[in-house]
Amino acid sequence: MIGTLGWIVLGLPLLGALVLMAFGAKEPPKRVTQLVGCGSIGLAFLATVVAFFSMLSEHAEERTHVSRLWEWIDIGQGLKVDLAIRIDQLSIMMMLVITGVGFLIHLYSTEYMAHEDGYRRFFAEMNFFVFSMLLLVEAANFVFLIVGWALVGLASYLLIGFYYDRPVAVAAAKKAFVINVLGDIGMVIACFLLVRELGTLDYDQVFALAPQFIPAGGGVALSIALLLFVGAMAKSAQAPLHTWLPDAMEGPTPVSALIHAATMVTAGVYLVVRTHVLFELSPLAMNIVAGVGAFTLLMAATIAIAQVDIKRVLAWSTVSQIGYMIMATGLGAYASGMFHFLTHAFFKALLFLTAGIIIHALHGEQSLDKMGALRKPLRFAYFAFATGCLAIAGVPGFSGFFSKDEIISMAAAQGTYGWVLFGVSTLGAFLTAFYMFRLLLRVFHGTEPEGGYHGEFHMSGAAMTVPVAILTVLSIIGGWIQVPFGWKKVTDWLEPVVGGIPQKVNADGTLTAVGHVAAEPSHNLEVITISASLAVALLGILLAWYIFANGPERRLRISARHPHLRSFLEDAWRFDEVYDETVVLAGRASGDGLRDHVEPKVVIGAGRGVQELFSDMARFMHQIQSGLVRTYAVALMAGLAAVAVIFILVSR
Amino acid sequence: MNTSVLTPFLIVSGAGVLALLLGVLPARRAARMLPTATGIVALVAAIIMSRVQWGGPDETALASNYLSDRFTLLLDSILAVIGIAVLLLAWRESSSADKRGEYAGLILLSVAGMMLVAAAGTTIVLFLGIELFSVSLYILCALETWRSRSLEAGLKYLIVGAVGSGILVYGLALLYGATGTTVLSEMQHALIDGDMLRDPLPIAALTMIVVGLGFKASAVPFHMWTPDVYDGAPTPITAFMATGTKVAAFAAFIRLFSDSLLGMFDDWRLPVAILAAVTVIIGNIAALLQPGMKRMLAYSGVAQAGYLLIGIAAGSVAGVEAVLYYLLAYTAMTMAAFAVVVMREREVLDGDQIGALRGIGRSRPMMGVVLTLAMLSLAGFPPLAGFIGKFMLFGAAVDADLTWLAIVGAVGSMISLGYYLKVVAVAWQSGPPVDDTTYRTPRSVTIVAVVSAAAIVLVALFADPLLTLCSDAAQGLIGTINR
Amino acid sequence: MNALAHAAAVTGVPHSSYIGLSVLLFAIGLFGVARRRNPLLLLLSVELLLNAANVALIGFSRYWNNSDGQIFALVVMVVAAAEVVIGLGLVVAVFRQRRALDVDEMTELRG
Repeated sequence: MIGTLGWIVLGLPLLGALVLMAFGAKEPPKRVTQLVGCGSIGLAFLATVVAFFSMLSEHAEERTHVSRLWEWIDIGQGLKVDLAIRIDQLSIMMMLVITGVGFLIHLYSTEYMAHEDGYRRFFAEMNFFVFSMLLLVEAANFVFLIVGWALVGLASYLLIGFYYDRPVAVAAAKKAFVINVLGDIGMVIACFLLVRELGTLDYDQVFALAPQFIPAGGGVALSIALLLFVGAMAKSAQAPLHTWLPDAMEGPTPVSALIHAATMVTAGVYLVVRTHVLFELSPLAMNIVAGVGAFTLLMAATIAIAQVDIKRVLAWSTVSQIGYMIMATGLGAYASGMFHFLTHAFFKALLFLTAGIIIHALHGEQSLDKMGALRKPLRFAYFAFATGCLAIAGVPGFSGFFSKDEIISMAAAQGTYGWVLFGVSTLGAFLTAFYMFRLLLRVFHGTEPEGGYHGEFHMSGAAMTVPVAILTVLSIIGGWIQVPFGWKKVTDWLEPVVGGIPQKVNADGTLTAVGHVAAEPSHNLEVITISASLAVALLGILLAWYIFANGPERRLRISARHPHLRSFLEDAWRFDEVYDETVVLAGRASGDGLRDHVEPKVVIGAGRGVQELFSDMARFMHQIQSGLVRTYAVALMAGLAAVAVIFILVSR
Repeated sequence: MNTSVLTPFLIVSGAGVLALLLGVLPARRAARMLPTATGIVALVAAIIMSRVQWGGPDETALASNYLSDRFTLLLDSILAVIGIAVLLLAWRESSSADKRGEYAGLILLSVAGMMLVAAAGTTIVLFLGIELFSVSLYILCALETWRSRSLEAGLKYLIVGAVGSGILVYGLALLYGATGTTVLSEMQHALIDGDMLRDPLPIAALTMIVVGLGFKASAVPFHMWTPDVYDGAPTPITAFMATGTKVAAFAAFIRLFSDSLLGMFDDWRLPVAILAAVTVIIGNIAALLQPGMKRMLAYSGVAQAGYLLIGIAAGSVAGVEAVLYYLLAYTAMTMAAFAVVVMREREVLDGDQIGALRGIGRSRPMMGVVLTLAMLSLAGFPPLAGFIGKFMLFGAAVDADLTWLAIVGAVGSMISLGYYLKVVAVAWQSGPPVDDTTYRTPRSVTIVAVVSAAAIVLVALFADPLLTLCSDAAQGLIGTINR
Repeated sequence: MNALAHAAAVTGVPHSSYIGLSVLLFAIGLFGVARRRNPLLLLLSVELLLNAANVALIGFSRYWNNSDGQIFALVVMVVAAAEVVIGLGLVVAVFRQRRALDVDEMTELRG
């Protein structure tokens, strides 16, 4: 039954997308679009809930359901790929968030996008995205994982570039796509290696055979894990493949909420947790994963301090929080990572949607410089946003406190390297509290911006406020399912999937453990870490209060004193410029004389740099294609000579 | 001598001659369609004959010049389908009104030549087949004599093609000199038994054969004729070249390299791999920024030849199987793309330009869907046929210790998104359509478009039975040598 | 006395001469294609290429003492003839349009 439900959940958004796409040139009435677009996700959510409760009533060991629809490919040499889905504790958790939060955001969008052209197109693309994401998490083998992965990338491209008549948006979409495809390649190569080593791509088989046939700590294990992680880095915007996420804010706000906060960017976390057996075979890879997560969380937090666009602050905050999740998975604390995913989905969606309410009220204004003293006119938004900030800052009682602190505690418990990570993540927590409250205070406290507000605030209706209210509640109570020194519902739930150490059967029949379980922090250690993160959170809030609460004088003074630091942070550590220069150097080194000297580009950076390199190469080739027959014939002969040389060299 | 195995070839070539003669009849209403109709009937009959012979044992005819194994039969069917599609695309094309007989007849003879290549048992027949289809194509390219570009395409193809053929035949001559036989199955023995492997003669032969066949397949740097010829030729003929020539060229590659020359695998493995890598990279880059569909598809075809060469370089049964499967997928998606171009050209002036496709997602949603499927599949987007084909090709390379080549292929696919997706984006842009024509696309073109698009999906969906089919065909070839 | 020696004794042409001649012809043909601008002369050079192969085939046929090579050479001759006929037809068609016989002027198709 659960298997069938799984197919229904997968099929409903796809059906919704197809129906909406089928309308073609004539736009249907708004009501119809809303009904189909939201209804499909709503029904999918209901089906997921039914499946979840059904699962709850089963024993822990019986909760894995694999449903095969079709045996798709069966090549003699043993590679079987079925059209199959897998509903277990991990996937149902993801499904609940995707359909649940997704439904709330769809509801919100019915009003938010009401003035836009392409209303129907928006919902069709959003439904398509939900379908792709569900395919990704419900896949029972690597092939469908990759299919879902690629389709999610396509959906993201379509939605970031929704305002396709704006070149900035189109460029951002292309950049996201290019970086994502890089990740895709890594994953495909990892799959090739899996086929070569194990001969199968089915999850159950791979995870059973891998400890047996892939030597732990060896080069193959490292390669597979790192290649998979490249895919995770690209999708989850971890350094150095993170540059696309802030630019992705060119998409509509609901898109940022759903895709670039709650779901798609967490696909990387899901991947590492799902394939944790493969990662555990290479301790070095795990350390790299944790290190990348830690570096990213810190870097992104520093950049968020200096951003002026409300959505960009939230974007960099997302990169940072995902860094926490990735770091957790690198430490082996999978349940902690997934717990933070859950709470983050709640409060980040809340923050984005509330930001949308603010932007909506101000008729499209997104810059902090044009905001201030909004807590009286936008009371509801104020409370909602404040809740989100308290949650993300890790104030006790709110959801973020429980999940983030758990990760920090787990870090501290893992030896020396763990202490370093503990330090980094605690510093990150300080910065998180600081920049989030900076955001809150600059928007809602302080003074009105220069020139005041023009015109009436455009207040939001029920369709927008109700989802925000629900998310507010969830951001508070959502964390209480896993409490330090108390019950651990998430860990218990995921235990059958991620707990347990992979075992290898030796020649004499004994078992050896490959991989390890993350060490649990002791009682005292947890007290220390909780106190530390509490302290830094309060410190961050106080510092933000001091600088930002009462108008712009203090902050302008401080930023005037550190212009270089400020611009370095504002330009996001100049990653884009570095990429661009590297590409330019490569282009010059390859002797491409047609390329002009390129000034560092600030806005679009790497994506455009790469594009220009290829464009110049393409134009060069078109020039060679002169139209003269004799040139072609001579090229033929030159090729003959070249091939002959190669042959001679090879035969030696 | 078993002549019944020759029936597919005889039917098609006979029909070709018949069509030429029928073209001479005065152009009354019914008679105008006669050559084309004859062609379609003959090709259908050829498919049926191939199907009938499928289960039977491998046969040879004409003193082992003509081989009729499962490989031949599979390719005969594919080539016949290509022929039917091209005849349908050219149906009612006003330009060929007075040359119907030649048009249909030459297409049939060309297909017959390709069939001969697939069935070649000796290098003589291989060369004969290649020349038969090539020479027919030279004329077909130039058939629209009132357009100087068509004539230019034909003459360029002929000149460069003749050079390529000259190199190929010289290589075949050297191969004969090295082995003393022209029979493919006997060659492998001669090359292994004899102490020939270090001899310059077989190496020189290999070099020239690779170049000659590489020219036909549009590998870099022998590809320079492809964009010009594809651009200038009448579009249905371009579609024919894009699909049929590739199939025939790779059939020749497989016949030679997976059978007789397999013994020299260590010698040609790396050069072919390098050729593949260069072709993939340069083909994909040059396709960027092309404003015209036919030229873009020409360069894209160059890149696709690169992917296919990856499968050849693997030198294994898995590689050949992947090549055959990809040829199936490639035929479907290329035919679909060209069908859309043919349709657009008839409606709009300069219909070849990518800009002319703007907004057809709205004005002609079915064509928009066909085009999107074709572009996405060509780019290797999952879960369409192109993705599976590339997965199999690159997988075969990894298996054969050519992982670097698989990576090059993947990078090339990534670059190719730059031009395929651009077409998709243009097609679905809203805004005023380029024209507001009420010209109705001839049903024949629509049929080709829809069937090809459906084939893209079906080839993906039924990947397993098709892969088994290709595997069967491949097994029949790699008989005696154990590597 | 074996057949090969017999053949050699009769005509006295060593095997390597055949190869040498064919290579020479091939090289001249390639050179001609590269240098010539008149399409008729291009076709001539192409003929040279094909006939170079023929010479090689016949030489090898003598060396291996079987008839395969000669059969092949006959086929090549037929094909070469057909190719030339079509080539000439195309050249005439082009000439009727442009009144020029210079392949370097045929550059409408480019890029």
